Amino acid sequence: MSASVTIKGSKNGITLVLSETEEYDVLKEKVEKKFKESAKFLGNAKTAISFEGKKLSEEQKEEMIKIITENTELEIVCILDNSEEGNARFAQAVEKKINEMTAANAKIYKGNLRSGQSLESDAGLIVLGDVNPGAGLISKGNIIVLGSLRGTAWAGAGGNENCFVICSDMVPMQIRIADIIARSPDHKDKKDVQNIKIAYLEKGSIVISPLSKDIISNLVL
Amino acid sequence: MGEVIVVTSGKGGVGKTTTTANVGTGLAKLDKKVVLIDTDIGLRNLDVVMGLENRIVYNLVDVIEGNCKIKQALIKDKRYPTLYLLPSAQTRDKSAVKPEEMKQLCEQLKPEFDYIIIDCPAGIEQGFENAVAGADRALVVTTPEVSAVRDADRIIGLLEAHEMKKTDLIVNRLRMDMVKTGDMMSSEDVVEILAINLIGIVPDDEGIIVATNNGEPLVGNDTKAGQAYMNICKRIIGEEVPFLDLNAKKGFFSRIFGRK
Repeated sequence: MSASVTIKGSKNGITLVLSETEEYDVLKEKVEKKFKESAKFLGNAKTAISFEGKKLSEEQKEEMIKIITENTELEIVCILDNSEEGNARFAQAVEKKINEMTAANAKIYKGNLRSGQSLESDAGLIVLGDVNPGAGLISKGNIIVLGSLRGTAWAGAGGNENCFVICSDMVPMQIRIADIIARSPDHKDKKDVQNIKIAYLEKGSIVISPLSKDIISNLVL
Repeated sequence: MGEVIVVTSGKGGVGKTTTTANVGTGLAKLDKKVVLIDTDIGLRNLDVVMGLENRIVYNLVDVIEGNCKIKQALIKDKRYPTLYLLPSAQTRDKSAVKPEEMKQLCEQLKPEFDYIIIDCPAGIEQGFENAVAGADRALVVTTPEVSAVRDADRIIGLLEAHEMKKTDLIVNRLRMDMVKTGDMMSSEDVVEILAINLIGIVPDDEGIIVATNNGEPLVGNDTKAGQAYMNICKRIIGEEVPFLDLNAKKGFFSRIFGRK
């Protein structure tokens, strides 16, 4: 059984869920009653509001806010557009901005990272030295190691699936790109030639291959 | 002014105490004035390896707590007049000493001795913090096993964080026969991972067990291990010594055409 009026709290303020089948006038009364009841609980915060369920016109929204402010101590500072489409656009814009930032910047570290040490960066990471077993790199951008990568590396820690890991000696315990994890084989092939390799995501799994011109030209920064 | 050297490894059982005993004795053989400090409070055994257990009256904790003077606690070695041991306490634990107090102790000993060698306990907790607090340089001991190398790597990282001026590596208990068959990491493999200066390779030697049980460090005798430890001592005082040829005994051709 669903109530025709529900108040939900979220990190972005309160959400008022209105039944789509009820008449507007009925809803109005119910909203008034509901907020009167919960005025004490809601307190006197400044908050944002968003509407779900029944589509309301701008005037109706105004009216709803008026009802809320009259019956509670709440101060509604803005109306949030909670539609899926709006959210998706917002997320996309944020992601794009983050990706731009991480691709454009990198933290450079000189020295060896030893067991128990780790390096994190909101941007890319360039390590001039070895990353030993038990040491880790975490970057929201790309990772480049000019040395042996024997520990773990996590590129695109913010979820960017275009991120990659490049090392001059690729023998990692684990590589993560975005949410995908690859671990080293249980039996290592010792004779593997040491050359510059890249790890990247392809069709949802991590691929490691020698760094060729083809691959470089296909990289997305 | 003396130099304070800490012998450490992270992992237990790789030969810190044996190395401390042999390097200390070797330096004394080279006419240096040396004191060995056992900081493994609660698990004391450097005195046993040195064969000095029966002479203990006061210990490290007594010195730190002011129950005796430093001179009273120092045990003079039975073989070498310039070698001393400051034994650890057996009835207390690591928290009985603070890093700051160890630092002060080292400063007090520096004017009196050429080398102060600290035997560090296994682990990275308080005992380690105490042992490295006053040290000028470190000898990291590892065996050619991945677990020991992993711990050595962690320790080297911690030493770097402590801004240790000089850190050298000793690869202990190497078996050339196993290295040749590919069943053991070579010293080169270990150095490649740890990326610090190699100051000595000590071959696996039954003689060490006998020497430990008898309380007689074998440094300087004619066994390979004894020679290897002596070479380490010489490198510590700054001499350039080539690495031992650990394969020397083996091989038909090398016996006929071998070095003079």
